[in-house]
Amino acid sequence: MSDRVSETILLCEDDEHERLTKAYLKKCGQRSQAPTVRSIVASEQGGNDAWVLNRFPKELHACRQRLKRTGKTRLIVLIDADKYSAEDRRRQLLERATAAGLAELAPNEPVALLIPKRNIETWIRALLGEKVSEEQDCKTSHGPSKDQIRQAVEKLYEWSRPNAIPGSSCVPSLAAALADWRKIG
Amino acid sequence: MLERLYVDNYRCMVNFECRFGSKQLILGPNGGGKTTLFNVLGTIRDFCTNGVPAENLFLGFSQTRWQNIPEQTFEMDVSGNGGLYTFRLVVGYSGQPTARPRVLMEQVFFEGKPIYRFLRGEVQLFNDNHEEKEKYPFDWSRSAIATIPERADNKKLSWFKRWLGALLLISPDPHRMFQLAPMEAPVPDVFLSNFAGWYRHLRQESDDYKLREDLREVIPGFQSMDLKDAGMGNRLLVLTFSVNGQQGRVMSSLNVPTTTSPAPTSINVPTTASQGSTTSTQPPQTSSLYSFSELSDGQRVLIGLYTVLHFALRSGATVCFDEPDNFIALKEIQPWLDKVLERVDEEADTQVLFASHHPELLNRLALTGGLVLDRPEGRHTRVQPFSDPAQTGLSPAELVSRGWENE
Repeated sequence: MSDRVSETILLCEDDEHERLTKAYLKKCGQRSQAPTVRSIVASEQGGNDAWVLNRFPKELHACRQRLKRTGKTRLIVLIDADKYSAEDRRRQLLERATAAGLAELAPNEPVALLIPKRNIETWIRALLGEKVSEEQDCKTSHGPSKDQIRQAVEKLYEWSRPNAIPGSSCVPSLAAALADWRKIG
Repeated sequence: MLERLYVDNYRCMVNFECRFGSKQLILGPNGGGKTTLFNVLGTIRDFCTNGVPAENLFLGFSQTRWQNIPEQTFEMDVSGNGGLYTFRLVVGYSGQPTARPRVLMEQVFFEGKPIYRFLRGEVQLFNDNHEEKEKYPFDWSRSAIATIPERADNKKLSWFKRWLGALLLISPDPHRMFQLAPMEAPVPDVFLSNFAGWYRHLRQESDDYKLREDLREVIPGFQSMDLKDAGMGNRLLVLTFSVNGQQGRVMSSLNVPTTTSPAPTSINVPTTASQGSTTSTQPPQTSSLYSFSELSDGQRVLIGLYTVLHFALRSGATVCFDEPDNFIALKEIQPWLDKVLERVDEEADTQVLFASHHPELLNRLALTGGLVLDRPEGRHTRVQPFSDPAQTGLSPAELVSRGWENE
């Protein structure tokens, strides 16, 4: 009914997830402001990963249903792997969906599961050219600055172009996710 | 109860028809026509029961801009008094559009049979058996309904007139709600700007015991509401609040002394949970007087809304709330809404219409008959039932926030 319609649903754990993704979409030339991109961010302190896992089936169902009707909906999920591997985290998400009675995720579905290991700050530091370990918790109390996000997004955009070779500081979970970043960009 | 409204050539409403339930939510984007819908109802009420002339209400700027039709049409179906009323009004220019707008036709039917007709400057009255009675010429620029007194043989028309006169439109604006009541106001205005005067009137008519009980639950420390003499026939609306363990502030202008427990309520009312929790180890309770204007915006609106609930939402009444949730915290709107909906369920022929974007109202009422008003590409208002066509399973508030409703 309104032309202010959300076509992209961004389900994520915290502000850093949202800031990085929206900045990336903007860099790719997309309108990243609400309501085109509707962010659903866990509002709790701690336990945000559980919130995303719980919410994922509901959002997947809603987006699939709308996609069927309008052909224009995509879902972007960001969840830190934390102590798990990125593969384990992905499996957790998919298990939640099948437990809710939803069909398995098809490769061509407009759904991107972006899972930084250990967390989004690890990816940001890697994008800024730092050598970081995926086992290292890079979270800080203040979070990355606006300038750091901007620089990280420049690099992410560069690395996610077709046939681009990521820099030496790229961590494995980010390298594995570049195809999904390209897909949403 | 208002069952149907038809409007043509009034602002954004062109050939617009809408049907209503007893608990009706009206939603849609800004500029979709929600407030206009309520304006139409207020306009008909003011014309037919308050004697406002047509030139103040119709045509001119209220005409649909992109049409060049010199007539406006309004129809209402209202159920009550054991049947269905149909009201029809056509206002237009007779001849030159520079002339004052005239009533071209005004009719009221009960169960399809005439009870009133005003046509070509002549009023035809009917008795309750629909037999023609007096016929007389009348001013073309006004509704004759406003002038017809209640009689033993026109009970049907009188019922309709009373219902229309009692139709309330409420859009509380705390910045217009003043503390001074220069006189009694029998009816609250749309912004509740005459709230103090209305409360002055209500206190003459009835006790506000239940209202105070509710306000004690929702406004911390609230004890009572009262009117103090402010000279020159004016009354000042003041509220007593209890302040546990603190010396209450005294309003110097009123020179009302701070008192100690029990709070200076004039009527012995049961204590609420917050008061009931007082134990002997707690400090003595004091109370303070505050003028109505000293309250927060939200508190003023809340008091206004609860007063409407207790004194206006009665059997047979239709009350339209235009964004009642403005200024009110989510936590506060829910209990009020519960009580309003409960009242509609309990009282016969009571109806409430909400125009709102509030998530609480959306989630409670949208899926059970919410109406979406919008204007695709800025054209005339369109109405459709609220729906989740993609069956996403999301709550109405979530659907609206994404713009996915009625896609």
